[in-house]
Amino acid sequence: MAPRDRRLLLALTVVALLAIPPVTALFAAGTPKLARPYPDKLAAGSGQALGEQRCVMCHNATLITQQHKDSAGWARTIGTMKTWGTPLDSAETDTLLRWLAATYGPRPRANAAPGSR
Amino acid sequence: MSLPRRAFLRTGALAAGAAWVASALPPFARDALTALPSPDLIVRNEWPEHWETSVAALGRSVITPEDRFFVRTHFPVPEIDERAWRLEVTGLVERPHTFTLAELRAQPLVKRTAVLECAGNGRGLFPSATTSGTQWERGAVGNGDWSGVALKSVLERAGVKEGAAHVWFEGVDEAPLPGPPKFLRSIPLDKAQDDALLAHTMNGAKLTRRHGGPLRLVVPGWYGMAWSKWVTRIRVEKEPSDNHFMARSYRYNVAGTAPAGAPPVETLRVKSLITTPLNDTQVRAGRLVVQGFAWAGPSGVTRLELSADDGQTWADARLDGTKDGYAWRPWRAEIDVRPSQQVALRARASDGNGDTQPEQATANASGYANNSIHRVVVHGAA
Repeated sequence: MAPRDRRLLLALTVVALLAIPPVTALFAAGTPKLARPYPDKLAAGSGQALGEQRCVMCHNATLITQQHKDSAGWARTIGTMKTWGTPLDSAETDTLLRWLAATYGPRPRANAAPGSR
Repeated sequence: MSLPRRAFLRTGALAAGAAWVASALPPFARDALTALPSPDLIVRNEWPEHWETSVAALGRSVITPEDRFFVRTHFPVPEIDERAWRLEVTGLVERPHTFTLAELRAQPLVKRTAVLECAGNGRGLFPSATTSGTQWERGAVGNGDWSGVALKSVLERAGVKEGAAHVWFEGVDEAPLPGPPKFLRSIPLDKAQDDALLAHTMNGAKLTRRHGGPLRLVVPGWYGMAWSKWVTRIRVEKEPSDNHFMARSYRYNVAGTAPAGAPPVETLRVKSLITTPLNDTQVRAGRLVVQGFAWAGPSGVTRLELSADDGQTWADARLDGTKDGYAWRPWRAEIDVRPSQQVALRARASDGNGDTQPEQATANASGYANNSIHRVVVHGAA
């Protein structure tokens, strides 16, 4: 490929990437160093797929990954979400609950997020 | 110049991929991602937006700028056509009335400087990590200049009937699924007729959609859940709202008990922050300025004490501002730091009711109103 064509391809690639809103936003905002204290991906395990399909439809994963509750706590949360329309049958509820309690169970406080203390 | 066929195909594929990524996201998620917040904000959740202000950013000004003011929404920020927007006032009123935005903006401007604090601010700092919800630490709070129409004058226009005791507020925000209840709150009529405001202006500029524009309720001295956003309906009633977010959320219940019978979360608990110096930083040996803000509910902040020996002895700090009103009060003190000395600072505020910040606030099941004393440790340079 001629160098000029390579440059054109590079330019088109950049334009295509900038069509993705998050990428556009990053450039527009001057690539800010945002403090994001929690993982935005659910941990691997038996309930991960259910979590991604049924929970992350209304809020992103960090609302789950920042919480550390016992089984009773997660059961209350799942109960509220089901009342509010999250589609989960009893087998799925059981899978999700066991995975949440095992993966995001009680633990000592982690270090504070940058700037928060 | 001609572009090779493969390059065309690759570019086309990339563009199509980008378009697919953009279209695959729900609109509210796209909104949140395309308006990334200021670097002074800690993103605790991307959508719905739960963004917290860093302590360093809070310390830079007495009025918290809009772009670094914390954001908390229950549901996605709604799309609003201001030309079609209306505020309806109904219920126990003589003359039900519908206001346009222009009508409200034409009314005399009333301004209140007031602290807005999320009821869950500090939830993430309770020793037990088992509370549900966003694990806010110190910065789900800010001090804003709010301007708009006195709620009292809107109610007077409609004429409140005998027997009315509560005012209900409904915004246009909704959950992505049809199941969850609307976020609907009410406040007592006395408070509504006292100093509540329907704000269309924040810090001198048009209230942004993210902060509840075009119109949000301001309930000075109350936690943020009462400051309904995107308000389009006001209903005057005999009883408080029985909405989920009144009857079962925002209650001081202890774990294992039903929230419905527990006291509701309402007025702010007295609290303070040390904004300078920041925790775990090195400071120059010698004279050190220590400062921050203190705030409270309707009784106001009356005292700020600082300890430079981890709570063994306390001394009054200089408190600026006034105890009347709902703005936070800047405070300032000076201490001496020796070379290589580690200093543990604690600040505690007291209010007009005689309440003082506790060493550790009593826990409640939902982690509300944590007003524990702020402790900051600094290290004197060698």
